Amino acid sequence: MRRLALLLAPLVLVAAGCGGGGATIDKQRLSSLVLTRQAVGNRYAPFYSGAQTQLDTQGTPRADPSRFGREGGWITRFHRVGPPKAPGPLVVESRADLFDGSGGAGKDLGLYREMYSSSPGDEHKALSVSVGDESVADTFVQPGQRVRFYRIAWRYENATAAVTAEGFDGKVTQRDAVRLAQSQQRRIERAAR
Amino acid sequence: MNRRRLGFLTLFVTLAGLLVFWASAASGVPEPPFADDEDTTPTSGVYDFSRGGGTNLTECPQAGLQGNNPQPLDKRSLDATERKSNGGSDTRVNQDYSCMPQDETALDVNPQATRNIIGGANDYRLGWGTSGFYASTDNGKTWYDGITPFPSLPSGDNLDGGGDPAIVFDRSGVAYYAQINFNRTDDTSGVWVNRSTNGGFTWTRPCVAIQQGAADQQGACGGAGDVRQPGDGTVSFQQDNDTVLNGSVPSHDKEWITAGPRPAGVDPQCFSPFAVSTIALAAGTATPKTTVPCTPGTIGSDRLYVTFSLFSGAGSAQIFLSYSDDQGRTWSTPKFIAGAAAFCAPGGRPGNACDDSQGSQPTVNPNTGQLWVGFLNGDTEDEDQYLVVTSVDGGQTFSPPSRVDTIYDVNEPRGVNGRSDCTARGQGSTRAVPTNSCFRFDPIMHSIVADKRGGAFANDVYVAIYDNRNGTIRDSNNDVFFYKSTDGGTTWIGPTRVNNDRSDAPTAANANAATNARQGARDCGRNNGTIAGTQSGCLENNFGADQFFPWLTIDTKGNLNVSFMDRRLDTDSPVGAGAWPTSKTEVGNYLVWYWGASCRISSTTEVSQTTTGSVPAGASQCVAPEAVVNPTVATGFNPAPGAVPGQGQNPATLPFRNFQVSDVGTNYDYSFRAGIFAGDYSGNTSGPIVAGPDTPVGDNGFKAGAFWTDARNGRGSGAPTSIEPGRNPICEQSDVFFDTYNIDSQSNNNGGAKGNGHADEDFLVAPCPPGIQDKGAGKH
Repeated sequence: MRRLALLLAPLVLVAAGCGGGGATIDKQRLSSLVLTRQAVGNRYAPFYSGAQTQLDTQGTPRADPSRFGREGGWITRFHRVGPPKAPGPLVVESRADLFDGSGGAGKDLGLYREMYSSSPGDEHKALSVSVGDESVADTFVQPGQRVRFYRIAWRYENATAAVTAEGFDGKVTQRDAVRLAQSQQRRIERAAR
Repeated sequence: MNRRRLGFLTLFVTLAGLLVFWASAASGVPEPPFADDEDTTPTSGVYDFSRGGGTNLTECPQAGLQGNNPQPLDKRSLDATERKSNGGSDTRVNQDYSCMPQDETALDVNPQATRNIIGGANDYRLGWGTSGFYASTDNGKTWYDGITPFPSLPSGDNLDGGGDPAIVFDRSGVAYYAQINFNRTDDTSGVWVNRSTNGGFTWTRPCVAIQQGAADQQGACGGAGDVRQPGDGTVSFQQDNDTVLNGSVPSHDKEWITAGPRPAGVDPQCFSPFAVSTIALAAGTATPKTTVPCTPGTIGSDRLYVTFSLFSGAGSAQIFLSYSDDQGRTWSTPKFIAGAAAFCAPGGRPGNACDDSQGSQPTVNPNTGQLWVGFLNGDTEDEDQYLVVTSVDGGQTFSPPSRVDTIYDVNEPRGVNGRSDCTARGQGSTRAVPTNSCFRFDPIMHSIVADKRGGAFANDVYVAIYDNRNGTIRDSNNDVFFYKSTDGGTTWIGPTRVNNDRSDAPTAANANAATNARQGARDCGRNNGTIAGTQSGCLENNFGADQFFPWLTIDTKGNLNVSFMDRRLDTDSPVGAGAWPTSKTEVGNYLVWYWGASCRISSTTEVSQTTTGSVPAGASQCVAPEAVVNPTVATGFNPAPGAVPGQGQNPATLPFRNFQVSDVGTNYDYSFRAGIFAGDYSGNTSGPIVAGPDTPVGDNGFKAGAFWTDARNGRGSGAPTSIEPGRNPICEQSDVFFDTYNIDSQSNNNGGAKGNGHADEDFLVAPCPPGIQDKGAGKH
């Protein structure tokens, strides 16, 4: 399919000019900013944990790993063991990114807002959730088996974080996702001290 | 296998998404905030195990091993899945007990000793991706294996990341293993060729020679005492410029190798060993390699050709070719070969260059030395296209590309059009995936082969592709299609559906949802001009099972051998079942077998015309009655979402005999790290290439061998068996398997495939056996 290379040059300049304030969370703490098995519960097994890779943002507005003074990112994914239609999410994704200032983190949250302004699923709805300094959240349903997704992203100081909770509709709730986000935020706050 | 992306291109993708978002907002039409394009990252990309991929557990299922090799202490009893996996004639090729995956297979047979077979695969036994080799000298009954030596750099470093295996023997029986190698901590990468003169048991270690002002070239390859010829095996090399993995320099991907006689009038050439920046060459800021006298005794029986993709700002990937006459010791300056054409004009490249390409493969007629290279191209308005160029002078000059057909790939299920279950598992949002699963499915690597005969067949060349023209973004139904050219690759006849199972074409009636249908039928739910959309625009409908990763070879008697992954036998696995219940949305079409298809071409007639129409009788062998000459003329270069050739072909009159090769249907959800990767291609080989002193594979020369990725030893990772029980290791793994079968169309011998042909629940959900755990010191 046709590429759009030449059209994008002005936007490159705009993006390159972004900056931010001072960092309060050290990048050495990056791996401690995401959910742990202890936080999500023993029913969940992590199936991936490590530095974010290209695949984790591929095809999204957040694909540039050097955006806004980004210093790195971490991601952990959990899979619930047991009956698939038991209450609670089946898959949980927790990610965090650190920037050299809160301004960069704020701009990254802006990209989350763009991502969450629509969805590839049905019944898309913005949610009012308060986590960290500022946050954005949404929910949608994947057609077919009615798989429900909740996505919450937020900024705290020079970090952005996000939780995605996926499960069968009616089994996973907004409360599940908020609880996970708040748990992760507590970890981030501890890392910022 | 798998590579990474350039920084400026990731920024490009980001900003493409921003632009699309802006554009869609301006138009008032809600669009997903994703790039308005195909994935612009290298096909391979790094699929890997973060934090090392430890070995804290010591056992995992090991079905399929043959022979009397030493075995570890293991008191664990076999589970039902392992017992069933051992029941057939398939032979496990990788001999390791690492509990790590192998995938993405390539295969060739030694023409001088046809009991000697060599395979290659991505091999993660060390904890990261490398290039595994597998050698047999008893027709594939037993195997020896290992990891090919890493290329050495003058700095003393080794490029220990590897993959994208491709194997070829030359006519004298020397084996060559082409691969990409790279660092995981910076952008250094390249293409190398290892050489084996003992049937694949020992391999040369490639050697990068970098001219650093030293007059002593010998010193460039590791210093005094290094016995290797400087530059040995180095096809293309790009040193990083800032020691950071940020895409600051071009990136190599998806190479392939073939061997064939130098055409008449073409003499052997040898070259300076020093690598030249391909991009600098293209920019005119570097000079090509100089020819040098060949080292005595090194001229090979054949010219070797390697093609590869190079991702850079000059093209999302350009296809380059390099050749060697001295058994891979020195290589010609890489040459851009994809050419230019009017059908690449939508790419907007200077001169209509076909610069956005991937998945190249060279093939040579062993009688004339004519070379063809097939590759995927995305310089299109919408769907991708498969192109072929040819050279009659040993790769010095190439024809403009011919267009085989459209690759109907933009309607594959993806994260951006509704498969959020896959992105939650770690799959990239623009990666194509099949219905019910999340393993990468991008139809990038297709297959091309030249006829092995001379005379009337000397201009005949064949292509096998797969795409989703018979599916939608909601329900994939990829099929394998065959094309042939009898005029040297200019005129193409097809498509002929190779798999002969049920395959229903999407129509307005069975595919279009009443609301939000957007584009219709095949493209239901798609946003116009993008790969994004919403699955709600399509009705839920099972159009048929997926066939994918085809490989095509031909023996010296004209028997075409197509082998491919196939999910047709899984007709009853339930919705909501399997390893990842939210991904299992359709009955059946889940477990994966390996299948073969054969058809014989015994006569040929040159068909050369610029118009479309029915196929002349003399060229109709292995052609479906519905196929046409020049299908792209029939549809135009930008087909509408309605009916296209390849849809609605009658299974009863399809010419390829289909047969099951693998014995069990395995679950790719257990193949690699939450089931997101199982390789990008599979391999096979067909009979003797030239007459040799040994008995051919089998006893009549019609025999063929297949080599595929198989997840029968993969299991779900249940807690609590390790610190990170869901990751590799221990239970998620794929292995590589081999079997032989007869491609004589009169035979029913299909490799002794067993199994009752349905979704065996032992493979549908296969927990990690309880005995598999870290037992502690002194326990076994």
